[in-house]
Amino acid sequence: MSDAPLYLYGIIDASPDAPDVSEWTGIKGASVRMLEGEQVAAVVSDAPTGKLRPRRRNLKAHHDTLRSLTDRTAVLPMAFGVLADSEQDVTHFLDTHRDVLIEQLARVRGQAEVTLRVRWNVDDIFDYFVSRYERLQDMRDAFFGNGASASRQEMIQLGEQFESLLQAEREAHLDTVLDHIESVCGAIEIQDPKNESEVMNLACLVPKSGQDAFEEAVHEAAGSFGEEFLFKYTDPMAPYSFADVAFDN
Amino acid sequence: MAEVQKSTDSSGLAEVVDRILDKGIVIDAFARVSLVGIELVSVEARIVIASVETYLKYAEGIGLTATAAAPQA
Repeated sequence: MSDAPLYLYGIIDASPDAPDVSEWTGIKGASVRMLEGEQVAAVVSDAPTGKLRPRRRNLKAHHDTLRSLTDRTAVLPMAFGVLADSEQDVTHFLDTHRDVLIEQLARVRGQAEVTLRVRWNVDDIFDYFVSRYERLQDMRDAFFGNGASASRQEMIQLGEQFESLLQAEREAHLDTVLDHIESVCGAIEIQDPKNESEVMNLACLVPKSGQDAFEEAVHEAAGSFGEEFLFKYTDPMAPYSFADVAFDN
Repeated sequence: MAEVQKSTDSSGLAEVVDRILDKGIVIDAFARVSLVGIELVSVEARIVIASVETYLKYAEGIGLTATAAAPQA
């Protein structure tokens, strides 16, 4: 056992079938290795000396290591940037939380996460909504027409109106997409859209053997939307959104 | 039909950076590196929380569509 601080990538089953990570490199080129507890193991590397920053290449090293693990086994990914003081701390964590970890691993086994985002692919989302809803256009003309400047109260009223139309459209579109993809996903997490042009932001837990069916379902869903929408999905990756567990010790 | 894109490896990271930072396991007893400098990701995500600020921002966006449209007089 060494006392050197460690960088953590994820938790996997400790088994003879565990992937051989001995040739892998992780954050800042450090060698990746497994730290085994009973039934569960942590995938780690020596923590870099000096400050570790959330730069692109570091995020990529974390993400790529987890993706390689996901390709080969069930994995509970750590959030980026978790460091342990020593091997003892890691094995103590594995022992203390073994049951929860085993249970969580079972939940994601054989599956990977795919991010699916749908956007309004228009130049100006406000213009798009104003052209669709006469009510918005009337309010705009009443508040801003003839060079008038809207009062704070009017601004809030107009913004609220836009917000409620935006939410109503999002909900309707979400229902349509879920109808197409629910049957090909083990689970779906609905996450907050990133900005007003995003229609939905979904984390989909997809069986590794069912990627083709998922992609087909996405194309089918897209088929019921007009050209002003853009569907974007990622390669399968570690199930970050489905290992969203905070441990307090 | 809506366009469908599969993000490639290079564009993929940008699509999932919020997952890598905001999701996944955290252990309170362990250290976590400072995420200073990338708060933008989370800030952006908070835009969706309805608030007066958001309403004002939306109204401004809609107001601008008036100036973009052909003047009526």
